[in-house]
Amino acid sequence: MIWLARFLAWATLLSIPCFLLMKPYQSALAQVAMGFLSALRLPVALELRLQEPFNLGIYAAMCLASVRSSMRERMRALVVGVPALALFGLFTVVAVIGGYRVVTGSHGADADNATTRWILSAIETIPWVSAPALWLALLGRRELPGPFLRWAAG
Amino acid sequence: MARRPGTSSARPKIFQFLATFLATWFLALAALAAIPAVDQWAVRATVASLTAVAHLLRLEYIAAGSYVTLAGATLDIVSDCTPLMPTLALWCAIFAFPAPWLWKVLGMIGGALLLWIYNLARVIAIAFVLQHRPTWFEFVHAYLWQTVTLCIVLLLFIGWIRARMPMRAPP
Repeated sequence: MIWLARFLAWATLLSIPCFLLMKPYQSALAQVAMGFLSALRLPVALELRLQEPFNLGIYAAMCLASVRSSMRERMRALVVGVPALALFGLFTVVAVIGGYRVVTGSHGADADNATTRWILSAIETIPWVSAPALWLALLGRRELPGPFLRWAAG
Repeated sequence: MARRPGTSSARPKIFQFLATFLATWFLALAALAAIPAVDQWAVRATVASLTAVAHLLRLEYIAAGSYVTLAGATLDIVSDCTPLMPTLALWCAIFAFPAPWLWKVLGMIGGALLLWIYNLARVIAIAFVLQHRPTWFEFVHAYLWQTVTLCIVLLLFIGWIRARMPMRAPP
């Protein structure tokens, strides 16, 4: 409960810089992704409307809100996790869009196609899922509630 | 710092939980993409629920297809305005965590109901923000509520795990 309250407070605070950075960050992400896709001979014009960099803010809030890990562990999770998450976001865009282009050909597919819908929902939700997943992997063994840890410890 | 018992050996099972959760999540997304009727049903049901709540709270309300005018603000109810994704995330987490099947089903049903109620409150709040503080709308809609939604899903999942404690798992 304390963790959730701290998380909400940190997330709200971090939402302001994330909101201010949203457009330049997404524009830069699209540029870099287009560069990679061009290098892979899969040129594509991208205009991203994702939750980036809010997922970074969410992840940072989860680390900062953590109560049972030491300061060192939290800082390490932040320093390692934020760039890893940013790179993962880039990798996801390149992999999903690139894969989609390979599967559907140069013209893409109908926007109402099931594959398109799956790709769109995956690309929209990956940032939200990846932040708690990384936090769980890096700090979960200390921060999770007792019953979860008792199960996890077998 | 004192180490909590068992934390050092917890990692493999945490990764097992994560892997199961992610695999179920992608499968669920694929199922949703293959069956668009689920999305359409969720939109219709959200509009119908909003109609009922607005009637109950005596709020000014007009519905036309997926468009609703609530307290003077017009909203287009799309898939993202339904509690489908948070419910799916909660269900995948419950599925990935070992528990008796009956307890899992109860958690899924209870969680879905609570998320449905929460989502109606979210949409009504967003309508009020749009009407009274339109400059805040993008921020509140795109970020704040998403964060709160994530918090609610985590809260429900943790609550479900904790509530399971008095129950004994089958042998």
